[in-house]
Amino acid sequence: MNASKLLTHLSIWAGLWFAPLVWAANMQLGQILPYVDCRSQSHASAITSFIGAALTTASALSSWLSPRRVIGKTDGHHGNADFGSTVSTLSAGLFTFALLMQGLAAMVLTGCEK
Amino acid sequence: MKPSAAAPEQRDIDVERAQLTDALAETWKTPSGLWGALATVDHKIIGRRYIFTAFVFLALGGVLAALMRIQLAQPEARLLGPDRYNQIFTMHGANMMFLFAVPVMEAVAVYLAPLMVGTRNIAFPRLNAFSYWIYLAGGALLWIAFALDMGPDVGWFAYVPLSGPQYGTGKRADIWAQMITFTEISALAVAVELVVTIFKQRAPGMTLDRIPVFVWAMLVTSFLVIMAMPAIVLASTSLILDRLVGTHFYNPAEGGDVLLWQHLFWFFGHPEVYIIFLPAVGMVSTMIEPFARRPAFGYLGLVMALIATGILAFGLWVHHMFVAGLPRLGDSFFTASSMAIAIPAGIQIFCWLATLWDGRPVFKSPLLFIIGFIITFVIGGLTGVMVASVPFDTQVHDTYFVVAHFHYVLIGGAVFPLLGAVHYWFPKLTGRMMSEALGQWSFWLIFVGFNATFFPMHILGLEGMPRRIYTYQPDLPWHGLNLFVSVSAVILTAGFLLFFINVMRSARFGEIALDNPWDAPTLEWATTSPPPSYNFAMIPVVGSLHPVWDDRDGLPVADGLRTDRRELIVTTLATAEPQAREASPQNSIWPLWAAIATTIMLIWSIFSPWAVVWGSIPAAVALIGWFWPKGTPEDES
Repeated sequence: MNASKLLTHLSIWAGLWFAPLVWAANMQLGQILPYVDCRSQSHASAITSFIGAALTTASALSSWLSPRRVIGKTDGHHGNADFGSTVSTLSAGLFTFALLMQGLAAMVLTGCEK
Repeated sequence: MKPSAAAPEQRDIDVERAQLTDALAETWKTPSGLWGALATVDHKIIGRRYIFTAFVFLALGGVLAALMRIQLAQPEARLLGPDRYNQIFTMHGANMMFLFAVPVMEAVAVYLAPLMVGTRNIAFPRLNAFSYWIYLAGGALLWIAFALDMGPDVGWFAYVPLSGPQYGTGKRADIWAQMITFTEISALAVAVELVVTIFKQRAPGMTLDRIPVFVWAMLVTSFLVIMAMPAIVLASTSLILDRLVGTHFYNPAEGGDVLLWQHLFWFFGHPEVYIIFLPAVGMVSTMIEPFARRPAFGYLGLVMALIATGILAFGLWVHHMFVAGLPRLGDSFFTASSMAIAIPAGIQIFCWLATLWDGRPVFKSPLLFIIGFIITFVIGGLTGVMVASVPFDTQVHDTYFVVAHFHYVLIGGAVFPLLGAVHYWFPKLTGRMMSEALGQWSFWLIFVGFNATFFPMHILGLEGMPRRIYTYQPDLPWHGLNLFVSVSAVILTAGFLLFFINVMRSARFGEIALDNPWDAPTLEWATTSPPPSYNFAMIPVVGSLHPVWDDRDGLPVADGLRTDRRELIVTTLATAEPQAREASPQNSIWPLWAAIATTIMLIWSIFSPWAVVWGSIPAAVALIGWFWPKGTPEDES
């Protein structure tokens, strides 16, 4: 598999690997940053969650748009590309929703609550 | 010299149909007698054994549940003392989760997945045989220990320090921990087999968007097993080390961390719920099609929901630890994820409802169990959203509300679909139909009995009745509801008894089944009921998501496979294009010997750490025997 083909695959499936990765990282930050939020009275947890939501939205766009470029260039069976694209886009939407909820929760709480 | 090297290769295209099936039957057969039974690597025989054994454990766990309900029917009952009660609720939970729920779902896949993807055997069939023996040994260990009054008494989650060396005296906690090792080895082995089978052995043409939903569900489940179960293996092993050789993983006085246990356990424990639930989603999505008489609505949405649920499942574990004193902001992240997972679950529910709405439903037993599943699972899901909220969970934590919730999710979400699946695939397994009348009776008894048993537990929980108490005082306001629950449990038990009677009776006297009695669209129905040892005389070629519906005159087939050795087609991961002809291993007794050696090592290691050293020698010998070339055609690459 050459580099361009690999890149295409990665961008088609971005919603299924990149979005969960961002969400998982934010889950871990959610265990670490409350202490920072409490000490400095900042909203670091909220900011990282919203940045994460922006990134997962980007991965959804990548998943949605990539196969449209590929299919135009080939004549083969497009089922897998379409399928991967739609499944990835929908999944990325779900992770975006989870990250937005996390960001909103982090806006409400100070990080000091036990 | 290898015999096959000198003899000409015999291929399926060179022989007539009758000769072909004879030759394949000879090549793929399991010899009769004890030796053949112990050495078989046929996924169908092993799958049937797995399913049967898991249902035996279900029945045993049910007996324990009945004992608990008799004890709790009256205040200050004297049937069970506190020690025996502790053992019983621990055994009930551990048995149902580790010996029934997970294994039975994998067992169904061991039987069905190779048929549904159109191949002749599961990948790594000897590992499959090994996994069954190890599972059986783990179950026997737990139940023999219980019979000897050495049953674990630390809850199915075995929290430290209760299960640690300070409080968990004797060998009870070690039995629990080592039972975990047995069952997790078995589950991991099956998961690896399923991933490889689904990725590399699909019939030509079965692209990603043509994989049956049940197979997708098992693929996601297998990845969950592979990623979640090492956490519990690590936890149980470190617990044994704390107890046996004096390490301090969970001893705060020496730098250990008690909460580490909870994190490790629930990092496994929450995905475990989805390891049980996702196969059920796959079963329902597959079964609903012939009974709604239309394709399942929203295939893409169903698959997306499966994958997303599988991933989100790893971000929920702290909702079991909301009262452990972690920062509330961190907890809220897990609340958010717990709420978010309701979306894919909702998508699935709406897809099934839409399928029924737009279809022409035939209300046979499997569909009744599907409808029962939808109703109970929605109730369990709603209470799940309630306990995902920290303030509410703090109030009902460790009460009967939670007992009600997880029984709704696990029985509603997994057992109802499983019972439907037994009715649905019984003809495939046995060649006989189950009694429809008994099936309907058992459904209604189970549905009514289940709801009457478990719904009042919500109220008991809200009234403050804690979990895991062996009795309660007469002046507490729980007596009436507890009596009602116990009486209702009799109805539930009657339903299960009727189900078992139906299975046993139908296996012997049931009406002979057609090859495809439900007019179902997936590949397992494209072969005979029950299937021959080689599954398919010719490997089918798939051109759609519903191949049996779309090619009613007969599926196109791929040819060129050898008939004089066990051979199957390996295809590409995404597009399922044929890549190679691959040998499939023959029957072997070595997996059994390896399982016996591993069992001796694991049980011995409860008593001495040196067991790992000396016990590894027979295990290594068994593995060498297992992989030693036998000079058969299957050894050729």
